Amino acid sequence: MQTNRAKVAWPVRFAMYWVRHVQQCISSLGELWRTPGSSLLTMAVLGVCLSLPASFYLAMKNLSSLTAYWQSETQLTVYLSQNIDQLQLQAMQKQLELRDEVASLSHISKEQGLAEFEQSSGFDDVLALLPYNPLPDVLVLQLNEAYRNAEAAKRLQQELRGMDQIERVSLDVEWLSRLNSLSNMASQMASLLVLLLLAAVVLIVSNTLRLGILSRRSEIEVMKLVGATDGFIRRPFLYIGFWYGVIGGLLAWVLCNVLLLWSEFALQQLGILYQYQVQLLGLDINEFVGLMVMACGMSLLASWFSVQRHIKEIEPS
Amino acid sequence: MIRFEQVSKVYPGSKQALQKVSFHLEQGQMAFLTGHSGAGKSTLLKLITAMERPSAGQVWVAGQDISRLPRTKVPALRRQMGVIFQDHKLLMDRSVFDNVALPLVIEGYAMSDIRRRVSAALDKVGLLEKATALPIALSGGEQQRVGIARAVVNKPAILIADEPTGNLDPMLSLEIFKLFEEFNRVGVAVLIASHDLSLIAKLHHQRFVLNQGLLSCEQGAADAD
Repeated sequence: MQTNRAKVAWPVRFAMYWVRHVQQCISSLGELWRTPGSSLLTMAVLGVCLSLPASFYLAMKNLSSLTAYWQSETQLTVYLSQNIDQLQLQAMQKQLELRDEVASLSHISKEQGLAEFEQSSGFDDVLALLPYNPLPDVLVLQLNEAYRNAEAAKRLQQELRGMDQIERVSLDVEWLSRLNSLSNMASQMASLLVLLLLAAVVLIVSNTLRLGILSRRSEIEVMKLVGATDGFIRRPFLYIGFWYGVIGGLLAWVLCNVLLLWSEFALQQLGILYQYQVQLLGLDINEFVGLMVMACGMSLLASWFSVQRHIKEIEPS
Repeated sequence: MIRFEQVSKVYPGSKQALQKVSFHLEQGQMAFLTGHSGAGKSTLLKLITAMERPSAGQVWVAGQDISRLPRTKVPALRRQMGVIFQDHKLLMDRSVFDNVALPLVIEGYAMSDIRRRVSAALDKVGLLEKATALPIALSGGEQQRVGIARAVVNKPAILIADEPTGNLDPMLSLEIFKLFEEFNRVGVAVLIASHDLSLIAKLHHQRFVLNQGLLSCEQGAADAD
């Protein structure tokens, strides 16, 4: 045997570095396969932990798209006084139509109103007994895009109230702004929960890897004795952490979709009563990628800290 | 190749394990390290492999002062030497081939090179046909030879052995010592810690004797006999 140490040429070393990476990547998957009990449990816990933030996110997304839709419906109903005459009515209509805030305006005359009311209420017999039509003329204002929010609509409402010939102005956004502030509060609570759940992810991954490292203590000692660097020993464990993230993330995605279908079904039952078509928004491709990146990132980060610390601690003696 | 200069080692809360030990193992030299248990043999070997650091003095290995070697440089140091342990320190869940290949894998050798070198090393220790077996299926002597194959597969310039024949019968022990002599003949510096005095006496090499942490040199078999 020659004693001269033939150094490995750097291109070979470089190529083999990546070959090892791929090998270790695949063999760590095999490692998970060999210990299905503990790894399945860990991945299930990760999936559940990650599915909750994702579901919160979906809930907020759907709620905000719903409120946006409702806001677009914002309209003002202007009830005119009883004693307005035809000329004044036309002038009022013109005046309102010229305002910036108003996109379109429709007039429901008292006769129309009465006819509609007769039809929908079924009180036609009783109404026929009335000496005069008690309903006022009504103008329905659709607001311009830029004014479709609670504050602008309210300002307009105040202004119109002060005008002659206008009896009442009703605006149905009070509950909407309440809903907005409620959903703001909910999203703040949710972000706190998300933080806690992500912390759980970190703790679970790092603890699982810690146990994995301790159970292979003697193997790590041997590797150190024959000259393996910490990085070399670290890699298989980091890949295990990576796979935890990937599979946990996929599981979270599946759980999220199940939850989505389920709540869509439940809402549809409700929607039938209100004659409202329910279509919930799921995770789109970008959000799916985001979820996976977050899952892998958190898991890798946790593995890194755990593996870094515990592999350093193990020294052959 | 290995030089100790006034090396002392004190473990906290116990007596001095090594006291001002100085010796020099030259390139291509073979030597035994003897002394009864607790005399400091293991400590001395641990200083060479940087498993322990000296309390005082300097340890030189292959021209490098390793007494204050930073942690990150330790793996590179260990790759320069082959180390054989009394308890073999094999990976029991991997095949003989994989065990011997480990140093090459760590160093980043190409697959074809690994196959060639592992086969050569296993052939040298006479275990080529056991390459696919698990170490657990081998006898103690065979396991030790796997450990030797792993130590020499990287063609190191230094070979360190800690009680390599501790659990073997005299016949097998002699075989293993002959194997070390073969490596020594091609220029490898060999340092073997052993308390098998009768066996050592049969082989004509330098002897370092440790007694209560103090080292003395004895020359070859002629003086010993």
